[in-house]
Amino acid sequence: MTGTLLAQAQARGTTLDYVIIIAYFVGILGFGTFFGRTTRTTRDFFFGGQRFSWWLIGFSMVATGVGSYSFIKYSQKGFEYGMSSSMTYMNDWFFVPFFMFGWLPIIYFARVRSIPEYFQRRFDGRSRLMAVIILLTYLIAYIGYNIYTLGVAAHAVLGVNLYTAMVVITVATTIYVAVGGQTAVIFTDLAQGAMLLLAGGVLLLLGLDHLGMDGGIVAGLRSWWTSLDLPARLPFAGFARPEDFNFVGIFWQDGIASSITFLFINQGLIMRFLAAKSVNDGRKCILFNTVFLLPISAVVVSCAGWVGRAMVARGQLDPDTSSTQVFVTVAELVCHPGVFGFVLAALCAALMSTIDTLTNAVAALFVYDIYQPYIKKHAPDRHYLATARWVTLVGSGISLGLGIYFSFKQDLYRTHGEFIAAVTPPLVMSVFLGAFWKRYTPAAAFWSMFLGAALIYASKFFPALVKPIADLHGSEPAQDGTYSYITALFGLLVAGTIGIVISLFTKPKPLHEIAGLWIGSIDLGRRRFKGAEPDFQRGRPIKAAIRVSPDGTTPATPSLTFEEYVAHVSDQETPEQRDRRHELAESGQNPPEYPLVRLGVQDMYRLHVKEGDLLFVGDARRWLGGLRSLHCRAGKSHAEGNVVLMHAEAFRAGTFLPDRPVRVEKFF
Amino acid sequence: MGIPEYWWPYLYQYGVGGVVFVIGLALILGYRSCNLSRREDRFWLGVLVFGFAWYAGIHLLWYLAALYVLPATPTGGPPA
Repeated sequence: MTGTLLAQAQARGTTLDYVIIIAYFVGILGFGTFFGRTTRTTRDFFFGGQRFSWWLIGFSMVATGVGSYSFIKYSQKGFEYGMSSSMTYMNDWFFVPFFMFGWLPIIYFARVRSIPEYFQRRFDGRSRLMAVIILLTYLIAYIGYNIYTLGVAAHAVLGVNLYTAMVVITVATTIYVAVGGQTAVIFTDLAQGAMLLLAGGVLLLLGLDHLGMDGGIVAGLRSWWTSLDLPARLPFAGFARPEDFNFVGIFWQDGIASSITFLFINQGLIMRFLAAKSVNDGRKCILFNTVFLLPISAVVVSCAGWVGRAMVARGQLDPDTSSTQVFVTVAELVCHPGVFGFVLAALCAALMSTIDTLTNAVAALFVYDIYQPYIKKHAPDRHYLATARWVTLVGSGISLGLGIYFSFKQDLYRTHGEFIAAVTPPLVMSVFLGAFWKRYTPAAAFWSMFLGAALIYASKFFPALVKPIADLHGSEPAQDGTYSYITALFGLLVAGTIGIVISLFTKPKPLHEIAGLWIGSIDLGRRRFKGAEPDFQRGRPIKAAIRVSPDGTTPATPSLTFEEYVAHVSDQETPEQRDRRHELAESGQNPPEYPLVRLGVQDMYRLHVKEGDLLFVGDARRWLGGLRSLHCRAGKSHAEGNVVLMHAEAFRAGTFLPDRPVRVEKFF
Repeated sequence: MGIPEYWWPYLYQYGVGGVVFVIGLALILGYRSCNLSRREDRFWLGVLVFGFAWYAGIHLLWYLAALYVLPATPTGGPPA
């Protein structure tokens, strides 16, 4: 596809379009660095301080989910096959129960910071090492390929030099990610998500208006609908044909394998969910995203192809139009100057928002799974923060280099793709079985990854391995005899079977070692997270003023976040004390030190809060989405109503503003 | 008379997908990760069932619209 686009490169658009695209880049850079300036700890850098509201995370995930090439790829499928191009966006609900009540509470309450860290705690060190190698190989090369495809798109659409486009995009993304980390990523992706939806909506309406001729949008809608034949109207493709776009293959590859991958092992997405202020907000986010935003996204990314198909039927578009070019062709045809620039800026937004998320994920994997455990164990948090920023710069440089290399050697990316296709199903199955089956053993996790990947890779050379499953579904092989989509089902079955069989013959980890890490022990995880017995009685949130007071906390509990506390005390403790503290923290047994706040006795009654309960204190302006907020622990009550007593350091950590009221909610 | 082939994907998606979905519900209820004695968890269980019905409903309406709302042209658009 990239080759076709490169061959069709030409300059398009007016000066106004170029001005809008440049303004977009400047705006997004400023937006990201502005909102990311509050980043002070690694928890801020990787998880945005774990304080954001569901709608903010949900909207930002639109831009992340609508990734590189989505507009071009799904417009192409919409042009060729009709409305079934929406399939991949509308088959994700089946695994949501596993995520909402399984994986999300496990990783949130166990304070899992990365997928390989889960492997270490649930299985063992060798599984972690294998997971980190797989994920880093995948992510760095995938970012490189995204940079390359983005350069190709910019080159094809605007006629700018391929390498100039790649460098500009990489530099812009790297700057705001290195400065602001996850907070910058979330806020830029919020803006980019809104742009994507708006641009897609505008393109659809203008397309329908174009189809309706003088009759307007309603006539255009009728014209579009009646121009589609029945297969093009249906929401699903043919059951098992054609080989390159059929329902059953896409169901297994995308609806099942990719859904689990997306929800369970996508480090970037996991970090986004962990940036939510609570598990409940994570649940609301997945609900909002899957039920509401994904169907809209399906329309947004496909509509140019749908409109283009109707235009061909109506004689308004050349039937020989290249399907890979249909997005740009239709956009140029129906958009006025300025609007075209806006749509192209949205295309850039889709591409950049994937890169920024993955760049932040690479830094997290390196710091948490390589640097901290193997290179420098017990350094202050500020050291790891600086390392994370350097890794962001170096990782982006490597990815850019790979992107440039891919422009000469596309075979390398194809090999990388085959490697990833082989290792992903076993990795997914290991996480899945680890989270939902207490009997699943470390040996099973390691060998199912190793042998599963080997068998999947072998199926490329021996398609007969996949044939029975393919025949069962009526799937046909490609011209070279291999199977594409249905291999995902084969991979899941093979990895799952190997894992289950080995588990039955090997020794599982003792239950106390995996407490909080599998579904049957989530309540224990919740207790550890709080450091006390959870209290589910709900009260009414209150609005109050913050009063900064050095006496607002008891001396026993420092008014710092846990990481700040660690950074603060690490210079004052003995090496033995430090090792013990790190052991406890790594085993998840160390309840974090939340800043202590004191509420009025009546407010505590209204909130149903008692001393020691967890609270969420945030700026009362809820549209900030938790930007100025902090998790706290309730201390002893005081007499005054609607006043929160808080230590100055906690006030700073929450980036609260003087004279701005806050909203206090009970966490549990 | 068999079910027309264009219905197979719908039945497969909500049949096989439905089995996966029900296994998920059984696991989270069986392990009491979703604890029905908590009001909040009852709400979320309702949300999960609603989400399944939401997609099954959207796709069903989509089929009905494709089949019965304004006649479709015998062939439309470019060759795939």
